Amino acid sequence: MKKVSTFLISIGLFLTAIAQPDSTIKSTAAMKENWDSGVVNSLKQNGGIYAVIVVIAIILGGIFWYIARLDKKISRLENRQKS
Amino acid sequence: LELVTDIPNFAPPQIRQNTMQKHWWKILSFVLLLFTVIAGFLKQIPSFGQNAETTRNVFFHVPMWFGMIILYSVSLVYSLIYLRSLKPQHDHYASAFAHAGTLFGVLGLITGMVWARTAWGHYWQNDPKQVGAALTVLMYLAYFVLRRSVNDGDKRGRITSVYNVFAYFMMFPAIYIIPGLMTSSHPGGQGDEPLMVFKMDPSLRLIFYPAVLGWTLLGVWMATLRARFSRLNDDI
Repeated sequence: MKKVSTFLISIGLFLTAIAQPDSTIKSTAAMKENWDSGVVNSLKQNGGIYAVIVVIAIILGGIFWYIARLDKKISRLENRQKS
Repeated sequence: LELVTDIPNFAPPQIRQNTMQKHWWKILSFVLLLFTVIAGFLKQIPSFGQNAETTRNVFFHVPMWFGMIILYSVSLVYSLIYLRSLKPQHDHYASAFAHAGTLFGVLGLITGMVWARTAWGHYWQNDPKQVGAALTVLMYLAYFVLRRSVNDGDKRGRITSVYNVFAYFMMFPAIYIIPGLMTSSHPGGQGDEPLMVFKMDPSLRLIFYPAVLGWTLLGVWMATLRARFSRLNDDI
């Protein structure tokens, strides 16, 4: 069940990723205009470097979350083995 | 030497109540790396030389090498302790730290190649430091081949611990002494001041050293997990 839902979510994400409206990929000039005139978004200041920082911070958080979970699982095994 | 045996986190549940006391360095690692990313990207680069914006790689590429050397040093210490104690868990720790160090070394090589493409024009141009670093990683890969070729745990521990001492002391000629005698595109080549990396711009150092500590602590965390896993695996 878990695997099926994960699969469906990935398919959904994949479709969202490729099914972009044409207007956003028309031309670099259009993209530039879109970028400049777009919704006021604090992430867009300085050419969008903040968006990069947020992306990397999320990846970092994900990696640490993953390792922390692994740590917990190993601790649980150690405790079970001890008792 | 006996103190070191207590490093594995085998505390019974009643002592585990104070998580902060036990796990603070893991949180510190996360905070330092978050700082590295934020400050490393937002900082104005002081002297906009030929590296331009790629100067920021100093916070990500160079800590891989510092981290690698520190992790290999810990591995060496555990190997020496193992040769005295002959307790399997010391061998597990030596191997796990060498493993994490090798991961850092491989990441350092790959990130270095990407940077070299931008800065010098080629992914690989046989720069003395590149070759020396590759040699070091290969020597440690040989350590793991050696580990897998001996089935008896006691024999494996002794042989690989001795090899580890050899590999560790070969690392310094490979990545420091020989490149220091040759012309190199890296800092620290012939004619450069030795240990030039310690003389970088103070405002860069303010981010660089926290970055080194953060990355290294992450490596230590990965190594301890691996060692604890090996120990559990041995007991089953």
